[in-house]
Amino acid sequence: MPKDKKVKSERLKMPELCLEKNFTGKLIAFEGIRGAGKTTQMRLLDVYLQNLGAATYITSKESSKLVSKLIKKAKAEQALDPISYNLAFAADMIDRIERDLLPSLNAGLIVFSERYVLDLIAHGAVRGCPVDWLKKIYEFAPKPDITIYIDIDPRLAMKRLQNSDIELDYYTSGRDFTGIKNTSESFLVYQSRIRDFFKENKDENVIEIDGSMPIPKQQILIRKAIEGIIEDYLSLS
Amino acid sequence: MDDFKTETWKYPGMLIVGEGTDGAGKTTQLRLLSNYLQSKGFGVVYTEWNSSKLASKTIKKAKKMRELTPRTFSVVHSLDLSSRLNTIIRPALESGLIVIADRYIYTAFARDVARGNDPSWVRNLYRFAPKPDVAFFFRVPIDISLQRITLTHLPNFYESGMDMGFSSDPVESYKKFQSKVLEEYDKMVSEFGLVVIDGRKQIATTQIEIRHIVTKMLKEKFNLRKKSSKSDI
Repeated sequence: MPKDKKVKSERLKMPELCLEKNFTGKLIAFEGIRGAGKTTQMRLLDVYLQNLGAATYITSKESSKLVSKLIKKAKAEQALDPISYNLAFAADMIDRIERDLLPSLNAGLIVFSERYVLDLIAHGAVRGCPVDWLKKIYEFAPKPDITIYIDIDPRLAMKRLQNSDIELDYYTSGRDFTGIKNTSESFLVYQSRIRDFFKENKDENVIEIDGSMPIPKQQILIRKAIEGIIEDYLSLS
Repeated sequence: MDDFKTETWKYPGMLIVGEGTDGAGKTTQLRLLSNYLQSKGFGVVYTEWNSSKLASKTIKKAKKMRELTPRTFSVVHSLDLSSRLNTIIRPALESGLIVIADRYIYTAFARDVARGNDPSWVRNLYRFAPKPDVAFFFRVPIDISLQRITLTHLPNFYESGMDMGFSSDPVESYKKFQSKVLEEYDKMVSEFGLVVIDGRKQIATTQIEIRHIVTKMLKEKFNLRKKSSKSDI
């Protein structure tokens, strides 16, 4: 292969080689609607685990090297129809899974994913895309060891966002598909549907945390919930 | 299975697809067909693979940097098509235009599977795309397409499937990879009813063959349209 320093061809692998099954790392996913407090809780847990001596890695939605710029630009131009919206986020997720998440798991790190596959399926489903279409796309993705779902009333989430400087854009408020022109009204309808989807699609690996509780209280519950995983992890190393 | 309702989607326009390996003569034939149809008074929209305003630059850059795995290669191309469907193909078909697609979903099914992706995974990914009225498969043996391509350039990294690690020699790798692609196309002939066109014949001979098929289809479509508009009244 030609030796070009810019080119990282050694990263390219056949799909099955990317899927080393007996990795020692752990995958912890954080799910919840916008404004639920996912990032806050994830960061606290990260500090806690690092203090215990665990190496961690954080990956967040819409941060892939491959398409994060494309998504930001397309959002600003309102250029994403519902199907393209889902495919753009699929490219983002799969790029991060193959480039960051799997290598980190293989290297034995604890990986936090701020929003994961369940989130992407929820966002597609409320936009009218077939759930089985989305599920099949993400079929190869490693299953989280645990998913922390932070549940919150969309009205409370909106209050939090209004107090911050985060703006509700066209897509975050769901105006691309709800047909509601008012940003706040559209946001409430959109996020309520996402919340319903989360609640209806929880499996036994999902721990629900009440996001209206005080932050430290939530954190205590989360630390308790991951105890088993951490014990297992620390005994390995 | 098909919740996107593409099978039953009836549009007044017509979707004509050209498929085949690089160097099979698709573009030559499709351009001639496009001119012919326009000379007959039909409105034609021509759309190429990986040409969307949304994704084509990103894809080209990622290819240049060799950043794509078989899976992301597949997904970014599906994004390109879904964007073109929404902004170009669907609006044109709904307005009664003829859309000529230089490569369509079968390109993905052939290439991405040759790259090692699961066939059902790739087919599922593209479920949103409507079935074309006709898909021509321009078939030439690999040594001929290679000969044609190397007249202008050496096959590039992804064209020759060098991401598969078959060979560090672009030409050798091209032969191995494109043979697999051709194999996948051959499998799809019966699966999707691709119309096989022998790409070794004279350009003009092939063009006459294609025009004949398309003209017949246009006549049928025209009659169908008359009927349905009557029943609407």
